[in-house]
Amino acid sequence: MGFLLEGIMSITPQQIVMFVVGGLLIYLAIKKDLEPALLLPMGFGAILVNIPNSGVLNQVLEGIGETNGIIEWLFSTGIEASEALPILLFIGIGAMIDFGPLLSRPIMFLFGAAAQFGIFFTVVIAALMGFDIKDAASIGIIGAADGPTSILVSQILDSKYIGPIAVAAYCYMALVPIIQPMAIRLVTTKKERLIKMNYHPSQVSKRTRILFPIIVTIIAGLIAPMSVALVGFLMFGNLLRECGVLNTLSETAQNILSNLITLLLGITIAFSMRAEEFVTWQTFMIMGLGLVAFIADTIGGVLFAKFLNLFLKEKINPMIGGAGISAFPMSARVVQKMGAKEDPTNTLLMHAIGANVAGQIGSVLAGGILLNVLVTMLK
Amino acid sequence: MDMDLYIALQMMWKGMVGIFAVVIVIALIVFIMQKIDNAVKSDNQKSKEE
Repeated sequence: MGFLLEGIMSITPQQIVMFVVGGLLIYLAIKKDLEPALLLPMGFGAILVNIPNSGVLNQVLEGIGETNGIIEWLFSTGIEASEALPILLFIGIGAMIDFGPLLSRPIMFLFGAAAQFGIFFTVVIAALMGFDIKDAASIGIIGAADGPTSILVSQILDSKYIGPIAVAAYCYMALVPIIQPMAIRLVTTKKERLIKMNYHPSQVSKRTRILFPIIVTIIAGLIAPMSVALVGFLMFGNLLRECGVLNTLSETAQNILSNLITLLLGITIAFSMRAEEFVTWQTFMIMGLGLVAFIADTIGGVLFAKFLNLFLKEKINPMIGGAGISAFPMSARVVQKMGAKEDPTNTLLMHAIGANVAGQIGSVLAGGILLNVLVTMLK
Repeated sequence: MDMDLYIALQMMWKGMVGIFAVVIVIALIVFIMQKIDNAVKSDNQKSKEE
């Protein structure tokens, strides 16, 4: 009867910690509604991969030989071999984005760039803390506030911390309504938060909407070739949306494709949440650095807006800079809420959406440029 | 200075410059496309009025 207790007797304390972590992620997903589409599969997957001799991982069975586990197979095929899952998800994300508010006010592009500061700042801090440069870069990309970008970059860089990086990215994206107001208030005065902005959008032609994804792909690809997968598939999805002749494909990308990949991505990433890889001091450090990245992103965007105001007649409310991170649409809503709290007649939403959407481009560009620069430096 | 720290600092400088370079080029192209669209629109309106 000893074989019945074999599994229970094999559990390690680290695996029990991972059961708790998995349970916590499931709790956060269901009870607190924090990014449930990713946290629930990740949480459940964390439990699956940490059961001793789990059948979801490759095992060597005595008398039988090697068996393949589904989660390990999904990881090696969908992420390790080609980074297919996060890249394909970008098609759906691109199809969901309306770049109209950004195209009608091109200055908002600058906030999408400025709010990626936290990525590079965190790379420096991580390097100072003793992480190898490839791991430091993988940790820094948490600041992209974009799950697929974080997973993709850390996989390309072969980081051993892909699990904590993914958990940190998704958790902090969900916590944007708590993190950002605190960071914004730190670097703005009440007078600055009261700056009123009027919204007079210019019309965006269909031709511009169609040419935009093509132009972005070519320019980003020429300057940072490593960004072509990220930017290209995002823009491909957007072109499906904007062309007007592929509505069925656009809807498929936005709904069926996105949901299918999201479902698989969460549970697949759980492969990197095995106890021996996840329950380490480095995981705590990475969670801390992820928070630093988000705060530095927000502060970077806000300070850039204040810098721009030195040259502009019509001032920009500096909180708009904080909306330049990729956490769409939460970041825009945070800025709108903070603006309305200071002055209920001040409607910042459409400006914030423009910056927020720019952040989506900025974050994938940052991922590609980070890879490009690192490859060049390591030659 | 530690090599990894040096690379990280270089990445920060080049990365931010790179992102800004790309978005400024894209923003300028979008701005020019908007101007062309507005010019074409006002030309069409003028010819309709005539």
